[in-house]
Amino acid sequence: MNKKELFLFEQQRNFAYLIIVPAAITVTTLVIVPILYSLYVVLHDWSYMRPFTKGEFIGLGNFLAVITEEGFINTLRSTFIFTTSTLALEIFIGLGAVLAIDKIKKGRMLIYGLIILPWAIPNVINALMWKWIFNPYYGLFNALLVNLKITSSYGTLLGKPGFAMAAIINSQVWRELPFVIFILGAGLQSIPPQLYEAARVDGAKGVSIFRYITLPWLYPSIMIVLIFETMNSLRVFDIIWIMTYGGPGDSTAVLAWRTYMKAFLNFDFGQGIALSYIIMIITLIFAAIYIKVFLRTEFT
Amino acid sequence: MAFKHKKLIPNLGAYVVVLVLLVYFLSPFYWLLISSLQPEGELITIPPNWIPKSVTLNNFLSFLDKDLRRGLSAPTAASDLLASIGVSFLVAIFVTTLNLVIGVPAAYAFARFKLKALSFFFTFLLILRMVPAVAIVIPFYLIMTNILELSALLSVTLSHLIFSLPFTIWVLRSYFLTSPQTLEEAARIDGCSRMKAVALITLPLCAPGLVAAAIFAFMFSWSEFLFALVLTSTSHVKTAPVVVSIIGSDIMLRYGVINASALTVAIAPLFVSIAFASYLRKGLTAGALK
Repeated sequence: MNKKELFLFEQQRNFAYLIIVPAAITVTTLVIVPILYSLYVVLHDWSYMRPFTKGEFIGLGNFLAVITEEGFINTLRSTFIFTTSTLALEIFIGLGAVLAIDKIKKGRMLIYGLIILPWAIPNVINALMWKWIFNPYYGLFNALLVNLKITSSYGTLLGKPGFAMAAIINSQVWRELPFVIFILGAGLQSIPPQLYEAARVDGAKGVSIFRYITLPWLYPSIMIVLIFETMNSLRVFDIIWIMTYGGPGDSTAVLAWRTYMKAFLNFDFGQGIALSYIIMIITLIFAAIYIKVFLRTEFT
Repeated sequence: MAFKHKKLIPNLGAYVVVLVLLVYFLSPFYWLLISSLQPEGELITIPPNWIPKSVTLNNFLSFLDKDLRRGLSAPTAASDLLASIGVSFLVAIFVTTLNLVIGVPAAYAFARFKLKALSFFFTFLLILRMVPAVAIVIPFYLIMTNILELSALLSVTLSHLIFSLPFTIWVLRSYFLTSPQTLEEAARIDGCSRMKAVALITLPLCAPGLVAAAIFAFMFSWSEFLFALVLTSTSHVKTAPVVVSIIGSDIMLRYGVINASALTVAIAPLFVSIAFASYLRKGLTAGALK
């Protein structure tokens, strides 16, 4: 590098740093500082009433407290049921939907334009709409059941633990499906048409074309969906606040709900933060597993 | 003939699947619309009316009623809805502006310069997207209200930046990457400054990305619930989703009013997403895949 090149390089570098500074400062003050502070709170016997007094160092005490607490196992079970059900439904319905949309040549833009609507509205509204649909007396759902002669009774729906869980799963899937369909749809579009032609020339039929061409090409998109949707399912909150408030009993008290409850209803911030760290750790473990599994299958 | 059947049936299946999907996606909106337009007496009938017998705007007009449920058990009244929509609009505009002002230069730097510090920071932003909101909301709340004692509105605005800014940078970067650098360089050889070249050439080329990023930021802020709920819990100034959630959990209110308030808050994002559907779809996939 001669002198002039070096000068230009330094000038460029300084310019790059200069324009990144606002973002760096924003992220540092709004994220790093709270996370460091939360690390302090979770490791100390810290009280909301005296934010500046130094509490005693208790190490992993808060983590031990939340893990051994009664009901934690139940929360893990609800979280597991909620997350696996939403993911499975989103992937299967999403795959079916993109394969169907792919067959339709006319009006695809209109279909995409209508599909985006559940994703666009606030989650609070999503939950309120479905809560009203599941209203035991005046709601659409029970009327439909009665009309189809599945049931003849009007009675509480969201008050039954199994139904309450199904209802929040439904709301989550309803909202997230548009995103899943967009991602899988973009993945499907990226498959070169020549591959299908070559497969057909070799005598491949529909199912084996899907198994050996479509699906492997969709693996990266499926991985993206799994990572994003695991995160979204693990942090479900708005829907539960509106529809079930963690109930009936604690049947829909998933991890994120329990975290909120600990911090803002019981005012035990240390244990709340401990729970939120557990969510973070689970998210990272899942992301690592997905990346490992899918990157391996992609290259074989 | 047999061949024709074979061709027709899979496509028929596709149409059925798409139709079922659209009914599932759209019927709640239909139900919300007719539920907010019916008088209460016709709303609480068993079985419900699939098609409204009469239509009224009374549920919406009740937002103008200052005394609706104020002073009873609910801390927030349905009549506070219009004010909260104003608050939400203000917050969302601020969040969107800050996102673009801070996000555009950062995204440009990530797309154009290959420096170690930059790629480190970018990886950090990716990891940040894995952090659940509920993990930040607790310390953020403690710092904002307990230590700094900032106003609720300012805290909410700042909190919305936490999650929208990394996404904005991510989306914009993918657009900057696809806009040709050579055009920019040509303009600079002709005597344009870098700033001018970017403003005159790159930004217009990336206009769809800017539109998508701005709408994402606006819609995120408009919809955000957890931070708004927590940070405004002791304030009488609340955002629209929070007020709607309170209205929705108020058992003394009429169902028609609850549905009308939900529809009112949903109208803005519905219109925006219909008008910019293809921008948003491209922005979403670009933001997730690149």
